[in-house]
Amino acid sequence: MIRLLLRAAPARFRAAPALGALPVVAIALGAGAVLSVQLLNRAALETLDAGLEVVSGSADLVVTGVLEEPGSVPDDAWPAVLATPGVGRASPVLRLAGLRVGTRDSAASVPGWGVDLVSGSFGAAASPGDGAGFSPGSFFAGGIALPRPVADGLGVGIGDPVRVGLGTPDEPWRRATRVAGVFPAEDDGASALLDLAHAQALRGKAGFDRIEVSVAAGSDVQTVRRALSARIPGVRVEESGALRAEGADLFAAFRLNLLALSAVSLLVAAFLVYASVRAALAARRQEIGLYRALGAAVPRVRAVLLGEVFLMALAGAALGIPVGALAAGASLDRVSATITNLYLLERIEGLTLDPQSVFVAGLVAVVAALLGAAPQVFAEASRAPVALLAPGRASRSPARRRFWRLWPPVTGVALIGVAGWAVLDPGSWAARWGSGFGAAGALLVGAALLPDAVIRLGGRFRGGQGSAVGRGVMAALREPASTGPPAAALVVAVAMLVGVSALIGSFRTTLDAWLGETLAADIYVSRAGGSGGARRIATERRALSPEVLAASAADPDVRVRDLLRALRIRLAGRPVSVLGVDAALPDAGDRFSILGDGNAAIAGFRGGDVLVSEPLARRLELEPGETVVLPGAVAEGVPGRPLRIAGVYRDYGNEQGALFMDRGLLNRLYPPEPGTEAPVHGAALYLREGADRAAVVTRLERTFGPGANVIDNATLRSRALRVFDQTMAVTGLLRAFALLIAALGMGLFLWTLVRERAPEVALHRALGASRGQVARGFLGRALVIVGLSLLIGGGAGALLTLVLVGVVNPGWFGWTLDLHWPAGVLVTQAAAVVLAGLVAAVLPARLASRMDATALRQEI
Amino acid sequence: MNPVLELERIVRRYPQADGSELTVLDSVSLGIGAGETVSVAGRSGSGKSTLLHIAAGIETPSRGTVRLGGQDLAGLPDSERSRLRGRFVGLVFQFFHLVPYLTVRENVLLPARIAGIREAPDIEGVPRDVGLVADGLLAAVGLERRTGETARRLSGGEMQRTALARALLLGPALLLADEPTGNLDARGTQAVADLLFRLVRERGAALVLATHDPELAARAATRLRLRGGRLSADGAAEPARVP
Repeated sequence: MIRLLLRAAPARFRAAPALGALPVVAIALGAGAVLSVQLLNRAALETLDAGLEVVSGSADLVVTGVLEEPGSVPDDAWPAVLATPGVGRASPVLRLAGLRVGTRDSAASVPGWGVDLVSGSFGAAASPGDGAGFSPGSFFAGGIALPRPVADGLGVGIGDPVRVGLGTPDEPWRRATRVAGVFPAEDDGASALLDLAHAQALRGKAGFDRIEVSVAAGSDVQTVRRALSARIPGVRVEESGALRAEGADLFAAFRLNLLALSAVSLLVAAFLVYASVRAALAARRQEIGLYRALGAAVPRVRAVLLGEVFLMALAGAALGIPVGALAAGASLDRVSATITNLYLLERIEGLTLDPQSVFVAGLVAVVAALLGAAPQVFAEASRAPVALLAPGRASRSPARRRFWRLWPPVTGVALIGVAGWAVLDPGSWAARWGSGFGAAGALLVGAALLPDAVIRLGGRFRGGQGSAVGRGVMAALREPASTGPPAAALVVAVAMLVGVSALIGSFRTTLDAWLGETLAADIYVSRAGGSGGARRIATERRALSPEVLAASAADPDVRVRDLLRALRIRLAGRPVSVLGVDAALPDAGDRFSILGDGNAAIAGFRGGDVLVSEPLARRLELEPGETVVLPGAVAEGVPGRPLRIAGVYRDYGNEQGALFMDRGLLNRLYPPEPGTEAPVHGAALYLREGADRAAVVTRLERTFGPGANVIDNATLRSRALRVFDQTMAVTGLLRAFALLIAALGMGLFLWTLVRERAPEVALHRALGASRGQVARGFLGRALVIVGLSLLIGGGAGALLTLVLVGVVNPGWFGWTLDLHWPAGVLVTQAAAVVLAGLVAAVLPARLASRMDATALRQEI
Repeated sequence: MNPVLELERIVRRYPQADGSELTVLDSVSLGIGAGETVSVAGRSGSGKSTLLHIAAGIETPSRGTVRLGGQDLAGLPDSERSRLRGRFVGLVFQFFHLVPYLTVRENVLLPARIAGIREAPDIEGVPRDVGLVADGLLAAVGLERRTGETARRLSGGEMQRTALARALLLGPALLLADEPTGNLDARGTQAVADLLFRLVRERGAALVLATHDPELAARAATRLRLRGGRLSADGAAEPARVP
């Protein structure tokens, strides 16, 4: 029987191609959404890996400095590591950020690493490789080994002279050297290599970024780890995998956002599968009844029907591969810009369609399709053959018992209640469940369960038969089994649209207000080629030169300067920025948006206490009045001085966490290297009354030259908002996916309804209904679905907004947002939903209006 | 007496998969006046339903002329044809064709809702509220206690009686009944047939009845048979007015 039914599948598809094709398209879009997110997330992780592991081979442990600064591992740590029992091999590495290589005619930027060839531990990706041209003598003498694409691009080979430098193209070259080797590389992303000592000289700073340690055969990794920690003070020793996990944590929230949005698309697609399977099975009830009457057992019928859905899902998943790849390709620039802007990673250079991502997306799509189909398949297969075969009644769903009628709305209301509870009580388990994502998911599922009950309620109304549209509306309301699933799909899509749009609107408004509140200075100065914004975590923050500092102080229009020093430490296993500013400045309070008592917090800050960012406070559960101990900090030669927390400030520029203190205190806690001045990484300039801000910016730019960025606060604010918009733009594609799938679903529903109800349509025509009346009847049905989606979906979306703004953001990101409803956006989206619904209804309505009377020979 | 329905040399062909054409009706002509009853017998697939569909204007002939109340359907746009059909013709089908989610009364009122009219002639031809007319018809077919029931809960006989009431709601001049007892048992057949002929007689409507039931066919004043696409007088019945 299985063979028979499967053999008949192509014929069934030919008989009703759209009925077969539309769910496949829905699954393809769902799988495509998941695959595109998988590919983008994977590409982002690979970019992270490229930054972390390009030089490491199979290191077991990684030794890093307490401060996450370049060169924070002292040179003398290397021999100490080598002398530790159980260490098999130890390779110090340092990264040359912004390495440039050039000839007289051309120049190229390439990731660069200083490596120790003697220790022999450098990764395959950066290896000079067997058979490649390589001159060890030249390398140790300061030569540079280049990947083939870079060498070819510059037109150089072994022995040719090149110049090397760091930073922006405007900065002068630092030294002349020769090409010591050219090695094959798979793509442009391969790195250039310099001998460790020469890399340190080029960077102008001693120390390494980290030492990678391979444990000797027979030694225990944890034992060696403990031994290294005990033997070498002032360093951190971690398993190499931990670095990657920490890095992945950096943008886990961003990845999670994309994943959640793609899951919504999949949820909508599952509803569509439910709707289409329901329609397909309705048309085949007598066939199923016949098989049952001829002796096919219920499990067998179920297996066959699910097998058909499986094949349909496979086809959809296969179609979803190019869809996902295209969608990922279309979003690549946005995502790449986002991770570059927010997380300071390298740009994502390209996507790889890897089998694992394809498999995961396909598997998820198939499972979603099977789950979507299962309720209807189980219900149909379990019915008595006589009920399936009975003419006149067989095409009607059996009256469900009270329980089955009540469980969807009861469960739906309960799930929505969980979300409501989370909003009302942010300390409850409902709010903590999955950091608020649990409540958001419960809300979406709960909302999807409501249309059935609302339709039943509306169906009790008698009347509304006076117009074609009214008859369509009433028909939709009296058939919850038909109208419910597509309405549920659209409800989820609308709720998601409203929730995400309102979240983004709230976030943007809050960010704008926060920037306006905290960008108190008139002009900001940072080092060109550095990490940019003063509050951001930098992988390598570059200090302003003494000349720039002197020139900024000498400018006649500069009233006050607020200088910033920044460094990075780790607190509770996560990176945290420690920032020093001039706390005594009269305008100091204006720089922070304090939560709670601002005056007390600023007074404490001026008195030597610290201010912690909201994300950090939430993560470490810090409260004003408590103390925090910073690793690596010394005071009067004594480490471990507790610092009192004066207050918590809002910070939307850094989800990892930051901590502000007076710069003088910071310099005492983390003194500069002997004989050097403490670095200054940024300067905020307050101008005299009446000074022309634009003229000062132009003058300073001319004075500083290419070595510094000068930006006024308005430009900085608009730039920050642009980055935000760029970051959120990627969500637009996924939102459009969900709406498209839902609109497709409604079209599918109406189309199958036209086919299923052909005799009913023909009857209306026979009773004198014009083509227009028939078409308007179907538009009436569409109006019910669209109306329900706006009503229930809009309400659920509003609650979802409260969950996202009030529960998820504080719980997951540690950000308090002000609620803002972007009325214009929401009205536009409502119009888009109505338009999409009506457009989706036009074709089925047209089909219905053109049906001929032959259907009158069948039963309704 | 003006003819209610005139069919002139109706030809209906259907294209076949092999490119040929199947002729179902071959130059069929028929005229029927008010109060006349005509039965059309024939085997399954002989073209009875097609003939009725063409007569109602819901199917277009390949050739020939259809006039309803003297109006040539070929010259009318779809909207006009639909309007004429809704007010001038009542239809009864083998499969009843009730809308399952509507109540009995709503089903009966459906033609008035589609036509957008509030009044219909009662049994004496006096215009009255369609609701009252519907109630009267439901009483006439014995369903006055089932008016609020949804159609899906009715028995076959009840469904067909509802369909009959619906067909007569707007006082059509012509009633076209396609195998009206084809899905009923003997008792149901008898009851519906009695009702059909009684109501048609009371309202002075013309009736064209397609059936393969000889007993039912015999109750019509004029008996015709469709064979090989052509219409001819059936047995010993009164001679058909076949032009």
